[in-house]
Amino acid sequence: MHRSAVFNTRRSRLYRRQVPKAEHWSVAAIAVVLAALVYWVVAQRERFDASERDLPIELLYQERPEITLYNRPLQRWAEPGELRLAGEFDFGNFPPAVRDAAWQPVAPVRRFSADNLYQKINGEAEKFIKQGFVRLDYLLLRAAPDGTEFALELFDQGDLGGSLGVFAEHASGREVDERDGVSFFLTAAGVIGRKGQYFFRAAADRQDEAVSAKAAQLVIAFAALGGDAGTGNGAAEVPEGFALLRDGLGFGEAAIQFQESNVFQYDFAERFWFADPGIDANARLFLHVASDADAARALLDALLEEQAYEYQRLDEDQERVVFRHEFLNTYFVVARAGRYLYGLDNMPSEAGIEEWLARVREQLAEAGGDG
Amino acid sequence: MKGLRASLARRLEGVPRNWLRLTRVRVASQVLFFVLFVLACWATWTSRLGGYPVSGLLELDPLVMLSTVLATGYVYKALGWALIVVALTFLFGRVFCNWICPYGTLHQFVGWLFDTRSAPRRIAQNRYHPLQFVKYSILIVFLVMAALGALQIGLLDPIVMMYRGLSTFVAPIADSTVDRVGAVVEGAGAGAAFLDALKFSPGVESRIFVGSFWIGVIFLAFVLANLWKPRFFCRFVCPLGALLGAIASKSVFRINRIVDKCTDCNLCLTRCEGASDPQSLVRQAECFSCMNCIDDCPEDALEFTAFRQDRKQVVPYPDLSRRKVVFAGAIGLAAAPMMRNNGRVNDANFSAAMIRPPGSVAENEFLERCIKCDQCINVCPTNVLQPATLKEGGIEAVWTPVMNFRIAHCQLKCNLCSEVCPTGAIRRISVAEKLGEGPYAKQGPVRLGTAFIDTSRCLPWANQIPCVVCEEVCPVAPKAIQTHDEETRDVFGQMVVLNKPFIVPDLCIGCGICEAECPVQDQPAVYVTAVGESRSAERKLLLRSRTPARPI
Amino acid sequence: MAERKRYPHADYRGERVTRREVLRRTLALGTLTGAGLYLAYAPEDYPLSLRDTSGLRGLPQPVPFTLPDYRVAPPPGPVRVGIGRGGETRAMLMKSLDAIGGLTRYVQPGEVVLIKPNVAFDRSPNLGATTNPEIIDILVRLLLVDARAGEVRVADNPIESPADCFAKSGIGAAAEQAGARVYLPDPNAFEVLHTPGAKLIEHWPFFRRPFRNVDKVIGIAPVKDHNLCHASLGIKNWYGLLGGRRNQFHQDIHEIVSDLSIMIRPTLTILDGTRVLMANGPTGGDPSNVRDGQTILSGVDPVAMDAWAFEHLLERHGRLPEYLYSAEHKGSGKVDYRGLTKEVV
Repeated sequence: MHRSAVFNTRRSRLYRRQVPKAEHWSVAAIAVVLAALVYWVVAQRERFDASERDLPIELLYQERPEITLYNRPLQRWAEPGELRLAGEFDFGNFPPAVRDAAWQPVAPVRRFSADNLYQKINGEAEKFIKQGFVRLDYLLLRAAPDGTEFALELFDQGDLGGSLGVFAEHASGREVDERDGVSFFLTAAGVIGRKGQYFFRAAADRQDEAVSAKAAQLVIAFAALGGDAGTGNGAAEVPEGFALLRDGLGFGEAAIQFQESNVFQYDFAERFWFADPGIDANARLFLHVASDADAARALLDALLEEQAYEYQRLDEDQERVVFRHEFLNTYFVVARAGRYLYGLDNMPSEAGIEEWLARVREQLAEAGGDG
Repeated sequence: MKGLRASLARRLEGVPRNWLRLTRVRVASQVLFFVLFVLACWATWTSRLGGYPVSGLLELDPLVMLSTVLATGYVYKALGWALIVVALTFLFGRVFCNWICPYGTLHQFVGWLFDTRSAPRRIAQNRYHPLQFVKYSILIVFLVMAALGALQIGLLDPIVMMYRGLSTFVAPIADSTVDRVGAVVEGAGAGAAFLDALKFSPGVESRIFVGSFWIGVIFLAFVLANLWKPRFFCRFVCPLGALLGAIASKSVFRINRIVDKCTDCNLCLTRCEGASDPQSLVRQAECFSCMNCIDDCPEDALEFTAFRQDRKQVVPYPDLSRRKVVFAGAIGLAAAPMMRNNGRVNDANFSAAMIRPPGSVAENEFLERCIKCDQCINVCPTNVLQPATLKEGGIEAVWTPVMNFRIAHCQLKCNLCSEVCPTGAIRRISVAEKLGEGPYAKQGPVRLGTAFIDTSRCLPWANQIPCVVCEEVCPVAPKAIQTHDEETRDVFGQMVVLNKPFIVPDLCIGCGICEAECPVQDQPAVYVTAVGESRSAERKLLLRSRTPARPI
Repeated sequence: MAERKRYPHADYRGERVTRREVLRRTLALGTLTGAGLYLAYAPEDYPLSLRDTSGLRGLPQPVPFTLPDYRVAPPPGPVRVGIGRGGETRAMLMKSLDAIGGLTRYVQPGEVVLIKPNVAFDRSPNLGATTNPEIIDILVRLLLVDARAGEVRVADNPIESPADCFAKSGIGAAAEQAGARVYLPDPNAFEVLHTPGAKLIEHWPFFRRPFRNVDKVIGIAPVKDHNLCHASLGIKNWYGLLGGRRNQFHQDIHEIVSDLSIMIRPTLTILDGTRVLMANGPTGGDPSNVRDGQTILSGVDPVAMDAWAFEHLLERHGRLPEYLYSAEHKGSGKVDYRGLTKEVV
């Protein structure tokens, strides 16, 4: 490598001998001009109109013509071969009366079983399955004039108990109406109800009068559920507990509820029937039909043992045990007759307990459950 | 007065008498302007801009002013500042070249730093060279072209070259170097945010500039040429120097040689920047007024003066014959239409990719104004503005700003490119005007182009895969990208809901964020083309807008 | 004479290379060659070996990092979400924080706190597309004064130009005036984050710089409509920390949002229901789409918060966004917010 200088090595040297005064003054003047220039540049920092670089907010609130866009509704999938011809439309479990001149099906009825219910209602599926879910039929209706859509879900819960249980969960605390055997309540944009083993939900995508009218019409249409025997097992046999409460004790269907599992928050207590004796908002009468007297006795023993943790045992004889809650001061009474377990929960006072127990006992004796 | 002078004299007593020299203050001025220039590029950034006159040196450039006046007939915004430099030149000759011009300072510095020649060769290299006339020919060619509407001075104007080189070539290199240092600092566990102040573009991913390689090559080639011929660019090429030289022929002050003191030692040539022959008949048009020769004269035979000038010891005018002027003019006359007829402007063949920043005037007028300084490209916070290559606009539009939505999008509430443009190629607009709000509601938003969907590449359209990033990011309200919603069973039998996007051209402003964010990255399934841009009636797409709220 | 002509340089004495020098050169050359051979051919697990038989060894291998769990136990009791309604912004924020035990429960003196607002777009604060800067201002001051935090940082990786987004949303100025430091992304700011259990972002570039030495993390999200995933709320807010080609995630938006819920376990999530973007989200742009929600939520169960906000602030009925169920499934919280909330009016 040849060594050579990279940078300038020459030292600067001043050859001139004198610097005139005029040059001194010029230099000073130029220096002042340069300093002034720097000052001027720095002083420009804030000299701009910030509102030019942003959209003044008041402009956004000015009166402007509004733009409304037409949104083409979702185009539904139709399986090839499933025709949507009005005449031969397969309604599945739906009564054909759900369709009328204004509200026409958008797509064929879609069916879901317990295996694929998650696809439809992921989060909720468990709720239905544990109440005996058999099949969901799904139908979308659309009103011709404005494209309002009504989604109908019809759940076959297998038996009356499942249907009642699901309905009770939905209804919790609401005023329930009854019409032509359909128990229902109207929601903001639809209706929820049940009949027989069926439970249905109908919800529109907006709220208006047409929707309310259709909801009322749907209740009438769903009255045809089961009764037409269109699907064969529509008129399933009425469960014994339900029959006792409805026919024997005269409760209206809307007043009867069913709980499949976890009754009184105990995992051993299953399949209880409840009815509202009309004492206050919380008090309820319960009835359980066990497979035989031994099972009923075992359940009663378990119940008594667990209840003792929170309740004070007041009074008992061979027929019944009365508890009072340690803090709430409500009364809980349970009794057994053969394979039946019955009683009252959340009673505000002891008044009325004996009368109700007597009525139930009388009915059970009539039903001939002793043994 | 006398007392003041006495006290000043007392104070200056300790200072050597040769301290207050013009060469000293000249260096100070050069350093100051160079630093201000770099700071201007540094401040040309969204978080720093404020009201700083970042394009100030371009507005001081008389060549920019003269050529745009020739092309457009008007003086835009602050271009009149150039008259200050014209006045300075009339007074003191080409002081701009050696006191102000940052490109000249760079050349001088590099030439000085690496100059290892012996004394006699130093003197030889600074003699006047007959080819120094070339810069005047270049000037004539460019001015004739400008008068015909093809503004190309930006290719060689020193201030423009400096801006362009600094913003598209030096700044990214500097930033990536700082980033590398930052990676090391952070690797050592310390915070590296303090390095942001050193970056030209803090707070964004690394910027890229298409074609900046060639900008860098040309920039560096001229800088390295100083090792061969000192101030090569300034002496032989610079059209601004030529213009100032022509003016300097009439300057009041000039270098004057006092012949009876002169011993013909030629030492005055040792550091003569302009190669202007102060040792014999000083060439007034070539002299940079650097004052080095005065310092280097052992006989004090040289002076910078308005009076006492020796009329016989000067060649005032450039070395330019009528023959040369005629040829240069003829080249200019031919070159302008050659460029225009290259077929990329307002004819049937305009490029779909030639999407100009918001506020740009129509293409024909744009090319009469744009000097390719790339200030707009430097200030663009998203990096969407790029120097055009031959692809978008042909030879005439090389290095003019063009939007590349593959890289980024045009920020909705940003008008910085229009603020920094010195020549009005991008007219100064406010954000309200850009978006067509308030007083501008009648004329509608500035539309850069129109978006289209390539349904053969769009995931929901072509592949049954949900996506609609484009619809999500569309910034106008209501969105210019709407969807057809469709339920379908895909090829694997799964039910999917596809939102298939389509464009509402009445609402689209062509900002390109859909294209920038499209996951089909290499050839986006939604893309913006120039048609429908609001700056030009000839590139209209729609007859009228279907909604009165967004007029076209 | 004749001899002299024949050998003109007969008296020349040259300088011979010694044997020792030849040996030394040979040895040096041999050592260099041997070292080279070792480096090139020694098996890969030998020290200093440069061998790369598969071609994979020389490829860049980012070292992923993991984020710690920033959560702090809430006070005993069922309340996981505080809801402050009505009054000034400050009052709403204080009510919501007090309902879950107050800010000082979550931030200890001297700690470094990172705030992640949503600054995705360059919109005016009134348009509801970004977090309300007023909340940032109040929260930063609360952190620095009441909780005596050592340092407060504010960071986001917006979709649009970061500097502009922070400037025009007002968040940059609010944060800096209140005494926090704003972190903008740059090429060095991202590192690969390892999130065990995430389906889409098990290894993904993450905006790490502001997370160095951070003790607590607070997310502040606006409540926005979103076409694809129905609502952009507290969990979706963490999307703003991802780098890389994050626009692919729209192909499975619910999976990515639920992944985000396990990517980071924030100390607190705050939902800004002061300006609810009801439609045209997530970008907004029209003030008529914004509703004054008069609510701020603070909580430690992001899923329950999002579910509550979806129903009460966006006023959507029917099914919650799918990603909330996935997030619950991944163990990030409870969709059924009933019983977990405490509302202070």
